Amino acid sequence: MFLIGLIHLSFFIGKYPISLNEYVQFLKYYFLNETTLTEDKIEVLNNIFFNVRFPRIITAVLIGASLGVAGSTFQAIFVNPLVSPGILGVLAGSSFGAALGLVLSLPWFGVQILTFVFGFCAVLLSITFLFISKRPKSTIILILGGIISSALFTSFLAILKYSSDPYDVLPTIVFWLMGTLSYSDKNTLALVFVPMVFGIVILSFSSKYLNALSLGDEEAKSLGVNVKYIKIYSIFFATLISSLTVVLAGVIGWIGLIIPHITRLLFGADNKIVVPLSAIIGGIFLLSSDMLSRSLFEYEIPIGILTSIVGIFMFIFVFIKAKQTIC
Amino acid sequence: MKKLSWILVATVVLAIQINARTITDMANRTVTIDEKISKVATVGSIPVINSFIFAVGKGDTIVSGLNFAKKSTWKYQQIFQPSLINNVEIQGVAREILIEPMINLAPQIVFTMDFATVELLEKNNIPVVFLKWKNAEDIREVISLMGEIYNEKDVALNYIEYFKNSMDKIEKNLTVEVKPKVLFANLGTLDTPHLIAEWWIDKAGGISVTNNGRTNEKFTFSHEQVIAWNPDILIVETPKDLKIAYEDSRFSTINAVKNRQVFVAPVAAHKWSNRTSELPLMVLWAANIFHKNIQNAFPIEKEMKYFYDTFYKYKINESEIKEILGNNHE
Repeated sequence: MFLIGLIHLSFFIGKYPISLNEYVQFLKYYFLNETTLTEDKIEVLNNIFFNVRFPRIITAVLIGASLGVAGSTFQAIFVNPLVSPGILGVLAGSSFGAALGLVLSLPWFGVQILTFVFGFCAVLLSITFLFISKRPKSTIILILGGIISSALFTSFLAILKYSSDPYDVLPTIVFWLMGTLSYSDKNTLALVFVPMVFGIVILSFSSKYLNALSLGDEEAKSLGVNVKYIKIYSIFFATLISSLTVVLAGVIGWIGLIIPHITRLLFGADNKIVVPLSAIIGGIFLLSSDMLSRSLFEYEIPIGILTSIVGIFMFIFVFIKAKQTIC
Repeated sequence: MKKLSWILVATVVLAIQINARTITDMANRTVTIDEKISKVATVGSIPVINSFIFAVGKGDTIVSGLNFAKKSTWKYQQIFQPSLINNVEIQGVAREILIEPMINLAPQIVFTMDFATVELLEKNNIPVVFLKWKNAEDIREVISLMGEIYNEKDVALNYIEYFKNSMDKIEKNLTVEVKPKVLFANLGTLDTPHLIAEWWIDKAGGISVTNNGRTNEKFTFSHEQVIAWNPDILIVETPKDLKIAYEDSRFSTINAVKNRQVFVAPVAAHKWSNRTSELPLMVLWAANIFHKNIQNAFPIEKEMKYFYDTFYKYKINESEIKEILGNNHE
């Protein structure tokens, strides 16, 4: 309900001023075909609502939900509260894939494919270190693997940026990687909407198995859970939805890490609840951040910068609360 | 013998003194340069600096390369000075100075607009001249300095006179009370890339929607902001932007798109909309678009012929004019 209220509120926020009366008149025109607005005004409001604000709101909610669900899934699979799409290298790998697509001037579909493929490669690389070290349950090794994977793909990205045209491709890559919802458009949204929603739904419904996984592989097997199968498809879908967020809006950090923590703090540690609620809380968080980024200053702050700042403070808060609980 | 040696040294020093002179650059540095300049290098904002060297008719003195000149955007750099394409590269793709090729090239002067480059080259005893070009007023100082360095003060004065006369002509002919609202934009990155746009839009008789007294070079905005501004005329940087303007439904309600008033700023030695010696042409071109009576009084094609012939010492032909102006409308 709160999310739905927030979506309505965000329709009023933007650089184009819309009064309550205009909003009501527009709704009357839309549903009752009667209004006091001029044709030109209706045309502009139609454009603002359906081409600008609506795709942006849906994009914000979808990205927040995807990163929240992906983060909570990764944390449950690896039984590690410090894991997130960013830490496992998904965002760095996806950024490299997307930038490669832009440099090669691939069609948008090709850019999406590369974004997912390299995001997936980055996660595989992070996990590989667990097996190389022969310590498959080590938190430290997994984090180190993620750092190595992120660093590797960030270096590849730097090479791409270095060699790209400074007057044409480079500004696009740089601005886009800052993380921004400014480019949200209904065509891109239409392309990624179904796979993202499908991924969120699949992960939310399978979250009950994640509780079994948190008891350890042997315990989970004894409870009749196909551990290998659950792990593979959970990693696949979590990587898919988080890499598609990069396609939509560049790199938006921290959400995948802090949203599961906030959800656990509010509703407990049961993954059956944490995973689906992370979608809702992630959506609320990113939509609120976007409303702030659109309204705080004359210039719009790239959303990735804002979520990083807000995310750091929220993480400190969660960290302090968690410490108090433990103590 | 000792006396003879001293006389020899004094003669050499005197000869050097006779063939050297000092100038003051735009950072107030005193730079000793050769009497006759025939070998210069340009680094940093190469197309901008080259455009000023072209404007005093000395493009043939440039011995440094232009690593991105092979791109079609910059083809007129090569047309105005064909040797550029074979010249030695002295800066990398990230605009870093390649110091060893630079020392090997041994230019009489290196021109730059970046003070860190000045310091780097000074450390390596390479004569360097700093140019500043932020406001429209700086153009007079840049071209005067070029005239002084190349001993072409008359050409520089002629350019300054032409610039002033062009602006006066436009001002006198701007009789229309209602000025159009204009947005100069890169629609790919959603920003107005250069502060100088505020100046040329005003001089050409338009009202820039991004002119809020800003001092930052770049001004970013959102789709919604463009809809709220509702500009009458949209000047964009590239043909790609033109496509975006007409195909992205978010721009469909703005006057400029509805009335098919979206134009691509011309590019020759440099993007006319940027900082370039071709700025008088940009103002004339924009005034042509903003006010139809100007179009009849000062046809841009005629002005281009005069400008490139007089200052660049290049006889531009009809097909080149058509090409430079060709991408500027749908």
